[in-house]
Amino acid sequence: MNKFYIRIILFSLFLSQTLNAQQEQTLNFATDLWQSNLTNPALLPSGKNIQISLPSLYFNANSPLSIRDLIVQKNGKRVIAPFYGQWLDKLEEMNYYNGDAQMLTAAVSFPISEHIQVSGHHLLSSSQNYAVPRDAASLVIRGNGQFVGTAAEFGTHVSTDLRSEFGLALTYHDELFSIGGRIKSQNGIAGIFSRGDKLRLVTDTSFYALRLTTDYDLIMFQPDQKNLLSSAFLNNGGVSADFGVKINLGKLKLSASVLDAGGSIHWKKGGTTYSTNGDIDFRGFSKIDVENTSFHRIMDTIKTALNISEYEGGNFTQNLPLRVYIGANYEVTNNFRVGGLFYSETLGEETKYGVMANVTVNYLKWLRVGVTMGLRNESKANLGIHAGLTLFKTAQLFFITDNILVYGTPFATNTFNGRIGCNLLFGKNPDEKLTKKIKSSKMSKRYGTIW
Amino acid sequence: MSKLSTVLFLATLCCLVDSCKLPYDDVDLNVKLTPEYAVPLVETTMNLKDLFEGFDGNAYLQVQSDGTYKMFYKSQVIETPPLNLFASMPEVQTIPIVQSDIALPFPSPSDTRIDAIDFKKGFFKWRFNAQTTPLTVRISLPQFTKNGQAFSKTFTLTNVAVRDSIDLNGWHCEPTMDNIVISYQANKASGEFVSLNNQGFYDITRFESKTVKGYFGQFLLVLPKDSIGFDFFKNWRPNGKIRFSEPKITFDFDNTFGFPLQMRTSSAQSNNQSGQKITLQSPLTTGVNLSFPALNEIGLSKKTTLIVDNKNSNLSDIMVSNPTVFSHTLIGITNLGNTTKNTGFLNDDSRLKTSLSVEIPLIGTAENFTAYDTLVLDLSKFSEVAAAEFKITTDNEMPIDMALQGYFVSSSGAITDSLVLKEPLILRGAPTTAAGTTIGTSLAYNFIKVDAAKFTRIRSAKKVIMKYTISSTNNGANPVRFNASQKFGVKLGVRVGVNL
Repeated sequence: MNKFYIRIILFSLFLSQTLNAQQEQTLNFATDLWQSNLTNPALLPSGKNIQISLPSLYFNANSPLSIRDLIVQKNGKRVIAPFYGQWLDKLEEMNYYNGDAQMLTAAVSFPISEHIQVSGHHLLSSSQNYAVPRDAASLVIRGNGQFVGTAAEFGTHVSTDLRSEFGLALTYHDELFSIGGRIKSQNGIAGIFSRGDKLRLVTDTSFYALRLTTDYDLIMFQPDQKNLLSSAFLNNGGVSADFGVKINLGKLKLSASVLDAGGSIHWKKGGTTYSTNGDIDFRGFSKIDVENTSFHRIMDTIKTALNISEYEGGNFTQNLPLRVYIGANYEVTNNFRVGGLFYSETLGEETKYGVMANVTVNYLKWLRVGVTMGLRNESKANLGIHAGLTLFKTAQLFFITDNILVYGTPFATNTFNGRIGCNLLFGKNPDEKLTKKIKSSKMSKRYGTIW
Repeated sequence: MSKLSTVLFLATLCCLVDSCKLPYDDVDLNVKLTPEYAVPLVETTMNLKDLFEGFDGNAYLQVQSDGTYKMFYKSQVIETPPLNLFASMPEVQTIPIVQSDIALPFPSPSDTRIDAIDFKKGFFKWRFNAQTTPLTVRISLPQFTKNGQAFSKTFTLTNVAVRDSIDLNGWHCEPTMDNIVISYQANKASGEFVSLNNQGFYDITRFESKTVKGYFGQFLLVLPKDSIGFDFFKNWRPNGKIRFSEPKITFDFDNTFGFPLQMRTSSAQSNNQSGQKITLQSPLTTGVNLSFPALNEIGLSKKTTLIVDNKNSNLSDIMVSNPTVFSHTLIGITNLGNTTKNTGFLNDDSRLKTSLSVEIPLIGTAENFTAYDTLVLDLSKFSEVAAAEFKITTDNEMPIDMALQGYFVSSSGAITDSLVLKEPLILRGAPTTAAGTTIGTSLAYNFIKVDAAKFTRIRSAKKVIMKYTISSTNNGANPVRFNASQKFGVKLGVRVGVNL
């Protein structure tokens, strides 16, 4: 088998493990970065009040098995586990993968008044959501011989997209609270979505007659090669909104946000639909024809029986997950801060939760380091880190991950997550004026200050 | 603190870079998927008629009114060539006119008597070279009539030489004592008779008759040799015993000759795969008289059917020898026993058509009846297949047990392996009553395992010789009956291990 395909299979198998949706949570604690505003439009970074974000990357994937788990020793050789042994048996009945990648192409934030900050951004993002039945992987690798007398459910849910997002946010802030909102224009560039998700193969015991029950559509949207600009920004539109609030209670700060409320993308251009629906029986040939029978002829006949129809067009409404952040931070000393975060993500009837604790230390004047400990659905605790490095008081480099331990052994981990980028900072520090106001406020006299 | 932080930061970066080395560069990538597929190959239901569709030639199966089958082999229809009694006549027979009335012998074969003839073809001509003219001449053929009128032609001789003729088509002639009379009358205008003797000739061209009545003597009618192949025995190359309860050969004769005809076999024998020949002893050995149309039935056909069966022949001996061909030559002898020389007739379209059919009712017994069939095979089409296990489900309503074995044969003719190890595959037949009627069905599940080693052995095979050993239910103890409602269902599936 070609080495290239082996690597593709390895990577696909890695991605197809049981995964939990995991939007980055640590970012919410990195309050000196404008990017934290993406998790709550009420959060404004401390420091200079004009921020320009240069292109930055975000990536996220999570798996219960690492790539190294997929490689085992056999007869003195390192071999790929799925092709040997009982690897498939370790899979769950349904295996979910949710992955995200994001490139923030540009963002800018500046004040338009003493209390109002405007932010705008554009990003390209891609998300992959797969629900892969164990039967599907088993059918590909081991064939249907193992399913004689039973049904194999191999309908694989697929939702993968590449989309463009423009966002415009307004944040009102004063000494006691800040509140913000963002409207986001979404545009789908390319995507593959499944609908129905029912593919069932029954192999009978008498002579292995096959019955395939299908209700499955696969809709593929591609950009118009002749009009890429339109495909990137206009073809498949959608809107979503973020809302956030932050309350200053002296050393204690509370925050809450709702992201992508009511968000959806209506895919309607550039689609091709592959559809199969109904009950298909294959009971062999009606004559014994030894001379003209071959393995390929049998398989070709089965493929023909699938009766997959293909047509240009297709509509699909992609709902965006609703995310909620609720957090609290407490200033222990000027350079030491602790905090906690509750996170949820809801798509359809499924909601996933996470909690995270944070400790942030202003290590040096130019270096801020934070450590997080997160817990999510069905996953082990992850040790995260966020670090910001400010050079020449203008260039802000940052790196954030929810699981720092993986970076020592990336192919032995099941979690991979990170954001890396650079911001440019200009203007005044609004905190100085604000600090004076807060220190003189009644609330500050009661609870103390964080600066 | 600052230096330590810097060191830690750089160390972390080093770890990150080092850790990104791919961990599977030394992994053995030479792997193959070895899935096992379970797929149906064939689902079919056959009855005996379906089995016979594969036979070439002249065999067919017929369902009787009681639902039972008869296997038929039918020969081609053969017929006698056309008979022409006057074929030996000269092209033209010239008779000099030596007197006014001539009694001319009718040109017919010896030992025949022509009572009447209807002409189809031929001419009667006359020519004169008269010494005296003008004359009025009348030529008469009193035995030649048409529409009840005798032939008479009157003309005037104005020139010295004259010739004329009459087309005999449509004329009827009744010779007297095998003679026909031709006369002329020549007179001057005054009425004076003038002799034309030695001054002319009559010409009779070779004629053909539409119908001839009379007695045509005894002669032989030899029909072309005919043979009939038995595909059942030829295709399956059987040995062992198979005995059909009521076989019969039917000879059909379709006769339009109007005289007695007795048929005999000059030769009739069967031949089997091993070259054994058996002569059929039947009523045709001594002779069978055919029906024939009477004088008032000219144009009608009279049928005679002769059935040769176990009672009047040695047919059972022939059938049990598993014949592959039956050949026979029939001859007919005319007027045998017609001592009174009764009048018969011969039409221009008189023929004797014969055909032969062999009926084998599928009622009988079989005991270790072994048949072979050769199937062309090309297992190179299954190059991805490592091993396979075939599952054969049979639903047998027929009263036969079948033992199945196959032998894989390489291009050099060597047997490389057998389909089934040791004992052949047994497909049980349906149970029967004492009268041989089936009751119920017999279900069987069988597996044929072809493991990797066996697949290697048989991969070069170019054909497989299938061996079927068939016994009627109860191992041939009682005759069993086949009928149209009996079916043989086959479901064939395979679990196949594939190297991808």
